[in-house]
Amino acid sequence: MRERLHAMKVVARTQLTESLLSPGVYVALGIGMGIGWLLCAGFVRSMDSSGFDPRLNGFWDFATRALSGAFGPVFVERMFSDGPFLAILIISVAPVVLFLAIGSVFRFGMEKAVGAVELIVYGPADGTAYFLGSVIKDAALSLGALAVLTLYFLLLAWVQNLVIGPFFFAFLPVILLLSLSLSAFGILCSTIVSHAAAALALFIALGLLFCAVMAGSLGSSVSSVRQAAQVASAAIQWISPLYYAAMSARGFGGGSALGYSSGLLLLLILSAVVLLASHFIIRRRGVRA
Amino acid sequence: MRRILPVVLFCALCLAPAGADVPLRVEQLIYSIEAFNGGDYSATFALQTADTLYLVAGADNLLSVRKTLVYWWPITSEWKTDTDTLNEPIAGSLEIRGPGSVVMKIGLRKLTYFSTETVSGEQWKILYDDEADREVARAQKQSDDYFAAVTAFQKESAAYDARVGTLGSRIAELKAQGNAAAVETAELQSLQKPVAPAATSAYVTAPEPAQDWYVVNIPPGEYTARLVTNDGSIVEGSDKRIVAYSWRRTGGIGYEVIPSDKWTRPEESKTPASVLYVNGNTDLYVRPFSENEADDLFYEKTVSNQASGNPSLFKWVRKADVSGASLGATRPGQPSIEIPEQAFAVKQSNGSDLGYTIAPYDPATAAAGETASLVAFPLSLQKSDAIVSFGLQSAGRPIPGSERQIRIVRPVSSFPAYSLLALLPLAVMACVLALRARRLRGPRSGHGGPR
Repeated sequence: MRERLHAMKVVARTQLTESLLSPGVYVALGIGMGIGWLLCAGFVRSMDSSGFDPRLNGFWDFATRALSGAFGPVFVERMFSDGPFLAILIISVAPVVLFLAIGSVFRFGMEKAVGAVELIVYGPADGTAYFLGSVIKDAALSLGALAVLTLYFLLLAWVQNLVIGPFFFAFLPVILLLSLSLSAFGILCSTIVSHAAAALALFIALGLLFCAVMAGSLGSSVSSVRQAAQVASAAIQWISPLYYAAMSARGFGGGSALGYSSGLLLLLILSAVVLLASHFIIRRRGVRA
Repeated sequence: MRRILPVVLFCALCLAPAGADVPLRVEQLIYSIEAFNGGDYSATFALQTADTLYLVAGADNLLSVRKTLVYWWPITSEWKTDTDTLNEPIAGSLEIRGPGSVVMKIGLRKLTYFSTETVSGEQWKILYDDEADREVARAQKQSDDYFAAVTAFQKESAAYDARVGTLGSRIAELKAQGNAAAVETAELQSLQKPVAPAATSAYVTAPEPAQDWYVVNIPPGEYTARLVTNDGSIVEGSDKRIVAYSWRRTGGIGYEVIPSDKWTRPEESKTPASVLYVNGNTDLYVRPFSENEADDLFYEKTVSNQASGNPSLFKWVRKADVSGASLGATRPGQPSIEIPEQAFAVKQSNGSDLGYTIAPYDPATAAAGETASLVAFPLSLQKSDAIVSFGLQSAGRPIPGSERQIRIVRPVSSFPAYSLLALLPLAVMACVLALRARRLRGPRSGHGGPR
């Protein structure tokens, strides 16, 4: 166990260093910050004497109309109830989280394919230590990206005389754990299928399924998508990290500390369960592609 | 002839739907609902095809079952009833089965409902049987008395205007002839202008003639309901599910925020965490209201059974205006000021210039019949105000949950310097890559490589 922990730390450190020495993370973060600035500037430009009027900005007009049409006006109202930064955070952090998760899936598959993981496993590390190191690397980079984005948004808020509401800060751990569980699902996909491209395709398909179930379950009552999603979500929602993220958000919005922390805890448990499943699969199938 | 026939048939087909613009009426057994929505009663109905009624738990909700005609009205995209043609209430008792197989049988009761204005806002009351009839008669008498007074006033006004006109003409005539008109002038001056009767009604919503309703007041939960006739048979199509829900949170304070240049487009602030961002170009008028939080779908379906909503989300809904409070406003570095609630008159701009003017309403100087258009707390804003915090106070104490913040956003230039900070990660990347390249080059040049 101690050897595995040590191997996990070494793998995480090595992968973290490699990620920091390659341009991908910086580009993803730069894109996230750029999007954040554009959205914040758009929000400020949408301001008139009675407050936020999305019709004054193309993006916000489209986004609020689309969200209102899909999920109802109450969704938009709640999303912007304490300012624009929650929506901006979700949109800005998406490139970083997706880059990290997709990068890990692809890398694990590639390293399996070329026999790099097999080579490591001949030494003191095993497959589980390897993918746990990868998850830790993703979590550390997500945490760093969230910290940088938060600092940048605080600066934007200060310059434009906006305020970052409590929902934003409550959502930071949710996004971090969401990123962790996405990484865990990425690892699971990599352990299930042999090829990197197939693992990536499976991961994207799984992500889209979770998004569709989430969108359907949040939709308004007349939506036919919602009715189909309700049937699907009864079985799928329990394994969807988005379901627990929404549970956490609902708990915070309703002033229920128990609901909020339960969502976080369940998100963490889901990640652990998915990683445990990956552990058993990799033990059974080995790390050879 | 062969060529003309298809053309004629085509034209006939095109014209065929033109006559079908009268909506098709269908006879249905519907539930008429007067549903309590927290501050008011919403009149709605459930079609025969609607499987669920949504009611606020622990409140009197009025239901009746009737046969009527329904039709689809495409202009508003909703079903409507044609009760003028067919409106046949079904008598019997409403059988409601709740959790734990509890069965309630609710009979029809003759009642009327109405609301009055009290210190704590609009108060709804339901009266039954003889008491209902007495209240309806009282309301009718009050209404009749008022209209009799208005009729008398109109007669007196007409007589007054006629006498003023006659005397005016007579005085002008006498003056034109060079005669004194002292008697006429004295009479003109002594004439008393009739005073319009004050519209003092005890009701906000007056009671209507008593009708038969099933009064449903049930605890939260899911129920099934059906109508059983007096002979014990079950009315076909009357089976419904009833969802009785309670508020998730109560006692919230929300604000209606009215900018002076767009008083027809007010905004609402519903939670203390919500910040009002404005550009500071105009003054604001705020009107506080109490609010409750409910499931979006349940509430929307309570107000209109045909509406849609989102069952995953909760929303704050307006209950009643908050009265008897003052507003404390604070600007950074300045002491708090207390703002009383004031009445304002809103006047539309004359001429081609669109817009409104909001001015304090003074009953003494107001035109006859003019009433206050708006009763609100005025908040004057200036561009230099970065933050204005405000909250309600009652008897000198702040009302919890009523705190809000107004922030005047700074305008954003087309490409501010701080936007370049978004490129910071790329700058860091360039530094890291350069350092790495330098480090990799260093040992190679030092060792010179294998020969």
